[in-house]
Amino acid sequence: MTDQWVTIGAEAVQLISQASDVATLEEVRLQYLGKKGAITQFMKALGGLEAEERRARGAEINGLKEAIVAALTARRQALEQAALAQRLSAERIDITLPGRSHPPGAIHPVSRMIRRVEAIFGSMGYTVAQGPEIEDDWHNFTALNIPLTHPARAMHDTFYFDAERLLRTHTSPVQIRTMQANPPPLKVIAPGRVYRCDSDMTHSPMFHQIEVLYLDEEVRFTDLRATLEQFLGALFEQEDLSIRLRPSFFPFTEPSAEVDIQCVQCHGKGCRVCKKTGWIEVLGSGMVHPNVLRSVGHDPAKVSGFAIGMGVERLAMLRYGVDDLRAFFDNDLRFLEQFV
Amino acid sequence: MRFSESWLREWINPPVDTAGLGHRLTMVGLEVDAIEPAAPHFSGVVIVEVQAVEPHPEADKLKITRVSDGGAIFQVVCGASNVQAGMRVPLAKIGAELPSGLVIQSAQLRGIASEGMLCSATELGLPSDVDGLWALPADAPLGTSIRDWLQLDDAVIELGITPNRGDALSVLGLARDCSALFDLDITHQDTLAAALDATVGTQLARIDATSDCPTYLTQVITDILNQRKTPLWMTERLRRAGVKSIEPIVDVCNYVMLELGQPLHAFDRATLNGDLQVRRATSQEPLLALNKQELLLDSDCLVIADSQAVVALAGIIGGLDSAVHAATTAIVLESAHFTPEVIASRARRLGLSTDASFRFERGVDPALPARALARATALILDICGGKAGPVATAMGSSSELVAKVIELDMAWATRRLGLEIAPELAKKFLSRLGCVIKELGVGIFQVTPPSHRFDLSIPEDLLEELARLLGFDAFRAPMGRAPLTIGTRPETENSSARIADFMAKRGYFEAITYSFIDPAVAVLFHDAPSIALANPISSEMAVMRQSLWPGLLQAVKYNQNRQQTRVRLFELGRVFTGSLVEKDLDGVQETDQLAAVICGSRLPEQWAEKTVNVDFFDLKGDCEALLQELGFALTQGAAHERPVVTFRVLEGAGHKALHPGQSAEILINGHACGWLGALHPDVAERMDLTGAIYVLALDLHAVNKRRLPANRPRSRFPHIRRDLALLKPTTLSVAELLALIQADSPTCLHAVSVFDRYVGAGIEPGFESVAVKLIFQEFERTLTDDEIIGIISNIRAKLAQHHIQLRT
Repeated sequence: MTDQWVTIGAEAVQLISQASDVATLEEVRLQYLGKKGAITQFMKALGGLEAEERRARGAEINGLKEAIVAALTARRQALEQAALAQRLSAERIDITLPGRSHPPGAIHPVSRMIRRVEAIFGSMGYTVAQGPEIEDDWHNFTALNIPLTHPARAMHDTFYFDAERLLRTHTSPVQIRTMQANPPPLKVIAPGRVYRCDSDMTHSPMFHQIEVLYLDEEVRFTDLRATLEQFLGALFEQEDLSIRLRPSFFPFTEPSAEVDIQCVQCHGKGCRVCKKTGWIEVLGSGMVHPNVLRSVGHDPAKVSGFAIGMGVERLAMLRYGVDDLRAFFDNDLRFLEQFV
Repeated sequence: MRFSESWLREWINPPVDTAGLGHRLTMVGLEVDAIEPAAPHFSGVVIVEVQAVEPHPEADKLKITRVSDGGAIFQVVCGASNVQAGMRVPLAKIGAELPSGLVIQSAQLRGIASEGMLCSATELGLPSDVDGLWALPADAPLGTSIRDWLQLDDAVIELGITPNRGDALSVLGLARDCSALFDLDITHQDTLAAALDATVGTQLARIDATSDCPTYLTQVITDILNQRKTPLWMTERLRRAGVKSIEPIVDVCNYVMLELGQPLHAFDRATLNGDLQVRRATSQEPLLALNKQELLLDSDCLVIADSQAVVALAGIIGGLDSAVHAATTAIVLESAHFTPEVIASRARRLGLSTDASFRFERGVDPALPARALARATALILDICGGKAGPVATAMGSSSELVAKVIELDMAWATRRLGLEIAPELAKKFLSRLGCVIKELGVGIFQVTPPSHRFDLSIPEDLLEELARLLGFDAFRAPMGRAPLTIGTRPETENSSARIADFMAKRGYFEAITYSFIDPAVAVLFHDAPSIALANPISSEMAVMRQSLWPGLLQAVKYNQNRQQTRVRLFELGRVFTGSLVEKDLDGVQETDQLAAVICGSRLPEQWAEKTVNVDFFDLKGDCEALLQELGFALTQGAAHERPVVTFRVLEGAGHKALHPGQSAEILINGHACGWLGALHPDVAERMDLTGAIYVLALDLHAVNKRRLPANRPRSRFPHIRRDLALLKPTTLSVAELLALIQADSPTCLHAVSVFDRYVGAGIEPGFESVAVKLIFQEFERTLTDDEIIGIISNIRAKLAQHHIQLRT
């Protein structure tokens, strides 16, 4: 009997090692370990033996069975691994092909700049205010201390609808509307489209401004300067950015200041961008004029404030190196793609 | 305003160089726009006298001259036609360098030696009307460098004077600001007034429009020789100020205006009839202006008239008929004060902006006319000779001349400025500006500004003067007490930034297009009349847009013309509807909208995807995704408490710019808030666009609020899915089919959606096959098969009534 088992065992191991796929291996398994398999038959035959012999043979058959199971398992694993390796090899792709493309669009540089300014002033507690673009003469001029005959009206080439109504020439009327609607303290920022009847290389009939207003019981001229320093430093990401305030004139502020920053291109050495002056004018500002405060019912003795007005395209041109104002309104995809 | 540095330094000479002066002026509020040399660089050019002129033996056009610099004699070959013996001209000596870069060398011209070059003004880089040599005055000093003699090593400084500083539009005005800025006295003294001759007579004037003209002075000057030449020192100063020399009387008027700031006018006395009147024009009253423009005036124009006609538009321009000319022998010189209110905007409206109107509308020192008249008369007598009569004075309303008194509390000034200015320093600054100061108490001043600072009327004006003289750079201090408040950022708000970001992530580029469009384009999109500008910049930008589409489509065209076939753009902007019929802004609606446009291929051309052009459902998909992003639901269902978006087809009442069979109105909870669809082929053709184009518009106010997410329990029991393949008539929309299925169904029918659609072979014409997925869910238990079968059988019965069958 033992020899027979040895032969069976050797035969089984050989068949197992020759099995070239999982199905053949399964046939081999059934041939030995299936219900009618050789080993199973031997096990069944054990029942007719004496107890002692049965135990001895039983152990031998079990040993043989374990050997076959081990060989089967090893072969199965080897076959599976080979199959997996083959599948992986067959599934190989050229990963250098580009990915399936759904390219993103982009925010317009003017919106991008508005958001940036809003975010900086937002971090200082300013909230966004809006006003109409079709304005009346009173909000756009009169309430801002620009009476009908004032020469400053000539500085604004206004689009009119009729004698009373016009396209706002600046975002300053939002100041008036905000002050009419809310008591101080007020910290608002008002971005938006404005319109001037002027069109050439450096003027667009439509452009964007941002108005900033801070109104409280005792706002000082030094607060304006401190705010400007912080804001411009944050905007241009230069902590020690030099700024300078030059006395100027806006009817709605007094004192009024035009604000220059040290040229972001040449850092003050003088270049084409700053016309060799080392300085670039970036915005206008000033302390709210008492007549403006009175026009909205405030007592200038009790309330003071500052206002800042800036041209968004100008800031965007400086920050992103755009040298043609008209590029902002052509909507050329090749231009817009740069702001992804 | 342009002026020559040397002219200013004759009045006051601050201890700084040109660049330093420019910087200080800028920083005190007189912004320097440009500093240019008064003449380009040249050297070695001296004044010589031509002593002899002989023809050149070899050339008809050349002449041989002998010139003297007062010592040496030079032989110079000259080609100028105006050369003649006795004239004084500039000589560029051997070694001289001219503005063109030419260096003069000794040369042989057609065999004749030439020791230099006689020059025209143009060759020295100076403007000239004369073709030929620059004929210098007979008293030009021989041998002197022309640069030195004409002080050409001078700078022309151009200032951008702000409209409030009319007082600074003169050398005198600038000198006054320098006096305060540098703490220096003005050194210039006016020349003595000319002796008057009572026999000359006067020109009387009467002021009718008294509030427009507080002062009107005239002076008659007779026996003038106006054909004399204006002296070179004066024409040079005029040139450097950008004013062209004409003839002596006009030149003097301009010179005094530049020097003192008072516009003057001279009439030819022979042309005036009777007394002058200062009055408002009558309606349609004519005036032929100096510039030959024929004006028709009306009652808001102030004029000077004689007994017969208008002779000048006051403060703006004189009449041609009464103008002085070379043959004039007697003049009436006018020096008057006109109020800014009567000048402002008239000049611009009439298309006449003159140096005089520029000054009067900004304001001129009301006390200046007498001083300016005396100065001008003295200069005219100096240059043209003649006799001056006494000054005739007419006075109007004097309110302009009353000095204002301002109380300035330095403690208040400190609070407003954030920086203390010592009362003594403030006093010094204000005195230097010409203010009279009375001390009312400690640090409290009563300030009376001088007549030329008519812009100073309230304490804030003085604050600004102190601040600018101290220098804005001084105002450095940390922020004062600013309350720390946290702004509100509602979580239920859909900001436009969120919308823009989503669109950008979805592959759209943000565009910004003009708010005004071509009315011919506007009517393709809307029937309602557009709000029209009274003074548009062009007919293409004449009416306010009622839709963002025209602008976006214009941008599509721009890109299509530049080889971009795949275009995806969006804009966030305002549209303007309503009208201006009602008062104020009551009839106007400004609505913020989102609009988008797509055309060309769905995806950029790529190896992994077939190139397919976009269709309606691309844009609808983007629209749905955006609305989901903003917190809206696309289907009604038990789990949704979000507002529901639906798309509606309006048979025969769609949008006029959209394809009637490929467009939909967008509704949120049943309220219309936008449009979506294929651009009408007719509109596309009229706008010269290529290919199928899809557009979207959405009112932002309909989507600017969202719900705060609120958690609900989920069922522990499995849901059950049943699919139905249905044959429906094509006339019935999918939305109607789904609504039919849902109508009256029990709440356990949780969701219904379409997952396949087929038309073609095997399907009867007029029908289409639609596969519908039904999801059943009961919260507290598992549904039984029998229940589901019952519900589906009811649904089938309902559908059968509408000729919808199960597909077998």
